[in-house]
Amino acid sequence: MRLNFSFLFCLSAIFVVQLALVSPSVSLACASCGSGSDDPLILWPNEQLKSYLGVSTSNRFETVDTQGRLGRESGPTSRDALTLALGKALRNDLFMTVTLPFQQNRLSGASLRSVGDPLLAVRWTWLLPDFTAPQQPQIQLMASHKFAHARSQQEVGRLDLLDAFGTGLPETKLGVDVFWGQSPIKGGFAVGALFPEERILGRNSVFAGNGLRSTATLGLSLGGYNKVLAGVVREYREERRDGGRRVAGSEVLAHSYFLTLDWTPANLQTLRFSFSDRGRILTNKNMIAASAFSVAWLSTWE
Amino acid sequence: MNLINSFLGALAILQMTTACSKATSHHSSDSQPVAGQEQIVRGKIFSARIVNWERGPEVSGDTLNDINNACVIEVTRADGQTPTSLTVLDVFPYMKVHGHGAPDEQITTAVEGSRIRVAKIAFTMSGEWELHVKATVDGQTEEIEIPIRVP
Repeated sequence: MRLNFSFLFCLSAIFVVQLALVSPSVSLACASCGSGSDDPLILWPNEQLKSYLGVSTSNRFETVDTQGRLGRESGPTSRDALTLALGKALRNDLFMTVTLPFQQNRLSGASLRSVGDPLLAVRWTWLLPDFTAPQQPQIQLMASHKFAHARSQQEVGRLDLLDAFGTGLPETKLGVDVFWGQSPIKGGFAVGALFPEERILGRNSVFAGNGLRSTATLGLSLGGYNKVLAGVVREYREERRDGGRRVAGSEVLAHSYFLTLDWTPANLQTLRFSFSDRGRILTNKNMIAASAFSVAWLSTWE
Repeated sequence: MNLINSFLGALAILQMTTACSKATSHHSSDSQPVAGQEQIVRGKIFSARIVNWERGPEVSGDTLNDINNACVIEVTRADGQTPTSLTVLDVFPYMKVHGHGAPDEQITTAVEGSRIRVAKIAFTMSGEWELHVKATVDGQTEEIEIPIRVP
């Protein structure tokens, strides 16, 4: 079933307004876009040690070709993941996180498991939120590196591709994250430059092309630490290189949207429900469309 | 309210940049191969053209029995003459625009005069692929790429 973007947008807007009308509103500082669309775990300014335990499932895979046409693909029909992340504050304005996914590919009753690509991320808060100036945003500079641990489609040994778990390419991301989180209505944006490494995969040296990932987020406090966020992500990559040569028409353009609900059932404990749909809004090119749903438990230890 | 305006403004910019990207992406559409109508590919040593798809091209299934793409490739020398000897060294599919190939150990080839019959070609997704053919024609070896559109 394909859902129209405007329909989903209207539905989420009605949902947000409805919740706002029935919930007491508290102005709280909020770290970053916090939706998990860029990094799964974000520490708030007063948090020292925080963990993330999430389960997710992705399905409805469709290829999008160079002309933006949706098509079929073989291989797994569902990809599930158990994601563990740990974040530690190094200073009041600096924290780092380590993320490790464990993935499972499923196809017609068969499944295969593997450790995914680990992610190491660091964020420095250049401008801290100020309770006396709610209009002032929090500004963070972010840097992360994804290690290419999992086997890529170039390295598979099975016809059903169940053993493909990653891109095979390490990637560094540098960016900025701006968020206005001290009002009941929250919002922000993040922009990250993507720098993949060139690697020999299969027969060729492969370079996926440098890219830019932009996220725009709008959210609403639901009282206490509860909030709901919705956003749009745009990812662009320049033409890839294959065997040292640029591949004409290989630019990647991917748009996705996400909806996230953070619910705090107990002090320092948060349950996060997220839905995202990739490749089915706006224009897309040379990517895999997919839908994903995740539930995560975030726990602050210090 | 300023926040909402800012967000809507960001979305508008996003939409505009997307429209620009869309407009600039159309230049490649004319050169895309049409399924079943692959053009002749000219190399320095030999030229090749798919003259017949016995099955496919189509997205393959997940078992050996579900990989059914088979085609016949006609090979000529660069000067247009029929080769006197033809040896196939390697045939494999590759999707350059996505940067990956597909399992190819199951591919079979058979030379029939100046034609190569290739079977069990796996295409793992729709889109623009290349079928790489490495062959020795009249004592000289070359590898060429035949573009294929898989619907």
